[in-house]
Amino acid sequence: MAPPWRSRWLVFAVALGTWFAYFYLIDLLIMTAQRLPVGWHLMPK
Amino acid sequence: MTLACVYVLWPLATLLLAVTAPELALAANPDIPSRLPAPQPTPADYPALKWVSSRTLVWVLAQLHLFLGAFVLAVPLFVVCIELAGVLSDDPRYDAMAHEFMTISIAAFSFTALSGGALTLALFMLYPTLMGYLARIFQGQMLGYALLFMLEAACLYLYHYSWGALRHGRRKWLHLGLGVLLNAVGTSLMFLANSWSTFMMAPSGVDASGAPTGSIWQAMHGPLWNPLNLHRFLANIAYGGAIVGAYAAYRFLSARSPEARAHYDWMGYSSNFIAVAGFLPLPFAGYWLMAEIYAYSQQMGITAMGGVLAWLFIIQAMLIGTILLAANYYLWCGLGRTERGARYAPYVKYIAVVLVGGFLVWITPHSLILTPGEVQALGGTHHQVLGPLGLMPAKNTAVNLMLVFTFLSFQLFYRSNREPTVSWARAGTAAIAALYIVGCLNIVAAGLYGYLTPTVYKVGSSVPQVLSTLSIIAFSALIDAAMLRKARKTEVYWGRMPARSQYALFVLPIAFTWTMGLMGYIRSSLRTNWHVYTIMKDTSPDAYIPSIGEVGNIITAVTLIFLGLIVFIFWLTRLSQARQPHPQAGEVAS
Repeated sequence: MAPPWRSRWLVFAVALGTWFAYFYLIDLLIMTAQRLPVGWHLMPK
Repeated sequence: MTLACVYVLWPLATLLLAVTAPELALAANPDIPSRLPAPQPTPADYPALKWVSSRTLVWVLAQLHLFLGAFVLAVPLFVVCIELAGVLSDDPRYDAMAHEFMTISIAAFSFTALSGGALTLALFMLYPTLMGYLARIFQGQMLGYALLFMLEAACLYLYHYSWGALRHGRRKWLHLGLGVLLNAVGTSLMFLANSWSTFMMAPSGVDASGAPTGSIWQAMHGPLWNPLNLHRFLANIAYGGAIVGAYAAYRFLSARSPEARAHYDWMGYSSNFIAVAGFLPLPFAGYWLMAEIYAYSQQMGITAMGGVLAWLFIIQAMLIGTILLAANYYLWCGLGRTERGARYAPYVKYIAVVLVGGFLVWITPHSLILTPGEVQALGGTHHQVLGPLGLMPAKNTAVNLMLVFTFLSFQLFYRSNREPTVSWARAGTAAIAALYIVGCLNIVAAGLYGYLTPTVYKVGSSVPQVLSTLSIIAFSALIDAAMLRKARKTEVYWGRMPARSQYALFVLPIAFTWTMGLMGYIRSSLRTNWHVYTIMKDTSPDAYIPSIGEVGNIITAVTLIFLGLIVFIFWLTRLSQARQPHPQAGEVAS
């Protein structure tokens, strides 16, 4: 029997959690940045 | 070394000249007032031709020049990369393919120059006041452009004709240097021409009357310049890849020997890869350009996306959907080239469902042109269920999912001839699967969020979607690269492709050409009845937005002219490789 850290489903579950945290973080960062009073526009006018 | 210095210093000096000399050229003459406002032409200031409208003539010539220019500038960009891949991998196939791509490009170069010359003559003849003003704003830069064009020709011919002479060792690196130089000059040329277009759309470096207030650099560096530069740069790569892909398909279908079929199949696959690689980030560059247009003038943005031009975006969605379906179909056929490919075939139907579903959402219009009876039958001007799909959050979600799944098609083909040998292969695959699932859910969730939030954040919610798509592509490529580094490679049977797959490669340049014509028209029409937006009015008889039908006819006509030219160029390239046997050779042999 394969050791538990080699179990595909365990890795899959951990990966799901990790990616969820990653995407949640970037969503949060972008949406916070968009609501900052300084603005987030890239180009000088 | 001396040679390398000459090759580096000479173009650098020319580039510097192109930017600085214009001001030295005219500003030195005190008799020429440089701070005059823009002239305001009257209808009498437009010389007209009897048999064709000036706008149509300039439109056709400009579009034709752009198609050819995009192709000629794009090919050397990826040819240098392929040549470098050949040097690094020591595989002569890359070098042969790169050289063949250049041969096609060389044949197209003179047509590019000729159409450019015709466009310039037409512009100065039919719109002298506008061209006089632009020449005053950009001064001698237009001559700098001509100088760069000559340099481009010199580099192109040198790069192409020295291929055999500079083949090995340090000479090969010199040849690669020439290629880099050619691309530096070509890209500078495009950036210069872009600045004239974007000045007309969003003038900078001038006051409200059109009088210059600063340097040429300020006139060049308008708010739309860099977004357009990036958008055209990426689009050119995708376009060039699509055209050489059609060449490979043409040669594949006419090949007699299995070796030639294998070579052109591989060439077709590489071309499709280039086209899709250029295409994947393109919607994001387009989105940036559109956001800058909105930021510059909300009215201009609404003219594009919500006014008379909005319907053309639906046609654009049709064409881009066609491009994605064709590129994916080609990749799915490619799974037949390997023995392991069959195990991925069951996934194809799910990718197809996402692509077709995304395509349908993308082409759903928001505002319908309805008869009173239809409004009554619908119970309003919008469909109760499908109506929300006409809004941008749904379309952004659709397009991002389509891009993600196109990348998945690539990944499946890449894996189909590689068997991972690392111990963590199954865990790696599980991590990639989780990435796709969570990433796609995030794209959908950000799309739904777009419906629940005020307009300003609705637009903003597309940013997490873009980042999700890019994250999926980047991370899964990284994991795959690590996992398949020492993979056991299985045989790829190049040439084992059905003939119908090659027609997908023909669809790509046709749809690309059409899309470029269509979107170019939209970009240019955003100025409505202004030559230079808010500064110089167009008072010619053509200062109106033509009907969608008329636009479609003209764009289709230019597309057909260009495709005719391309077929001629392909035929020329093939002709140059043909050798007529001696008339008596057959008798001698027998």
